Amino acid sequence: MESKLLNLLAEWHGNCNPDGPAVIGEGGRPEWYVPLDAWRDPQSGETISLRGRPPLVPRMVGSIEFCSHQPARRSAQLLAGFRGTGKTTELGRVADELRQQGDFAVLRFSAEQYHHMSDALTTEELVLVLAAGIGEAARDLGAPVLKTKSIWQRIADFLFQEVQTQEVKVRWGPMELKGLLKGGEDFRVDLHRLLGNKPDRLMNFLHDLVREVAGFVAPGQLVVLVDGLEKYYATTSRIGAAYEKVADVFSHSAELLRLPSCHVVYTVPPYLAFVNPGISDRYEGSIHILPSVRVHGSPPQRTPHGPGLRALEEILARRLDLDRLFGEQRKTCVAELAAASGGHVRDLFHLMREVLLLAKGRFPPGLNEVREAVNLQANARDFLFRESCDLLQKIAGGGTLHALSREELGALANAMDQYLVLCYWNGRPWLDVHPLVAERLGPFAAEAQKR
Amino acid sequence: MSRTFFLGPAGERQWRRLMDSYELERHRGVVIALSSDRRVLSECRRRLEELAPRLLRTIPERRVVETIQEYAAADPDTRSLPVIWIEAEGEKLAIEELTAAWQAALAPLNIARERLGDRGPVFLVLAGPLTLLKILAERTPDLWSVANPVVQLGETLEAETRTTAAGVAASGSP
Repeated sequence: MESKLLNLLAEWHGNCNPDGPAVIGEGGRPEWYVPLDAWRDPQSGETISLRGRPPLVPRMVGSIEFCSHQPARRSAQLLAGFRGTGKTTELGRVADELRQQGDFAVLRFSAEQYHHMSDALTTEELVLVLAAGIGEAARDLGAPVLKTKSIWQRIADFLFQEVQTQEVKVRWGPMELKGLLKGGEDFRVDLHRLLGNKPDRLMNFLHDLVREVAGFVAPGQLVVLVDGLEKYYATTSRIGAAYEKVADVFSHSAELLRLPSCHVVYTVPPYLAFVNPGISDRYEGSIHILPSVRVHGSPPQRTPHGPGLRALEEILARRLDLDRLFGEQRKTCVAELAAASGGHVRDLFHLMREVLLLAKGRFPPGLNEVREAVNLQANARDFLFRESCDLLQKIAGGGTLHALSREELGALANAMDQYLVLCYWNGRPWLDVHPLVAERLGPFAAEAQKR
Repeated sequence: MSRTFFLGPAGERQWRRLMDSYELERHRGVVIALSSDRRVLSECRRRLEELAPRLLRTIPERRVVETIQEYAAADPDTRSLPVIWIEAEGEKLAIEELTAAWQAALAPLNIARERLGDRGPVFLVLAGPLTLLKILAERTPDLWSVANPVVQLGETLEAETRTTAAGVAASGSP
């Protein structure tokens, strides 16, 4: 292959890296951003939301603006974000929009920076994570008190001076706390012994810190965006239980988590939005869900949804020259890739990168290469869906998800985490099995029954 | 022409995907190479060593991110990416043993996934038996969701003289 074409393929391959340059922020590629929540369909001329709801960013920003004029000047929202659906991008846009207004100081951090996330955070751990994240971000913002005394020193002082008892001694200094919080089980137990029966002191410690930072940014209002609380790295057998604990913390600690003089957004597992929708009552009335782009209707019919397929084509067209790549077969090839992605943009990129690998050997690629790429990407999931086969069949058949057993809830959480199941929204949220899995599900189940 | 072990038709096709992925990557590649036969993985690593300017083999340990960044930073101007091959030691490990072997490296790799190429371009291969895929999907879903392709090399390894895909590429044929 001539080096010019090879370089072009390499450039496109890099542009479709799902973990590549962000579309917003420093070093970002804003020209790649496609507004999926308010997308203008070139075919109909209409502007539509491909994720079934009014645009997410204006909704979240609007809620903060509305509450900023209320006497309490505080709000709390939940964002249920599937990995790879652009949650971080949208949170970044919320931050940008609020900053540009000039009335808000936005702090943003991820729970992963402070916790191992191999199990749900206890209330005590969550408070320390929030204090650490807010404290470090506020220090970077220039809050004087946090410049002279680190947040870790402050946490250590709180534990040492206000919490420890004769029976439970504090054995850690500020230098050790960060490592311990990321470390694991022993610290969790110690922390619970120290703080488990002192919820008021715990809340006061966090709320005092937030009030202090809010005072520093006044007359502007404080906004805290807490990312990463939807990600847990537990085994299949434990993930369901972990999500149940997350639901408990968000249900029972709403007063604690609704921070004073502050607008806060927490990301939560998408599972929560399906299993505990009532939780939204405690957080401004709704859980924002960032679903996949709707490329087809609900099962079992799955009628193709033209606008969704065309929007995904535009996402690709911003990153590579589709006419040059596919020539006259562009429409059919891209439509097939878009349908196979299930509207999950990260998978769309993986599929396109697979096509580019094949194009290195056979240029230009056509429908055969596209189908081969789909097949190769589907192979990687074969090994993962088998344990959840019964549940996936239920979803694929359009069955109801009410009254799932505890085991099935765990399987659902796991299937969502591994993109075996995708979420869509048109009028209401619904789930479907990922197209890369769906075609293989029936034959596998039939084979399993024979065995 | 390179004469070496043959991975069987399916294995050779998978090797070709890995090789193509390496050749198209300019910044940071993360791929998963799977085979229950360590000799197959070893052959694959040997071929990559022929293509890459440098290859480091390491085990999945706690300092793995620092190891990657230091190795990538050593000669960041190179046209072809250096390769870091991460594979646990031991034969036919049960999933619990394999999980234990990877345990220390999983969280740092997952968290640092976006920073892995910051100090120089690098091509990372996470290698092991098929069960490694399950471990990565469960324990490092973010890393797993960006690690691509997943190359299932099979178990065929024939000691016959045959032109490998690496040899074909080196001779300039498509």
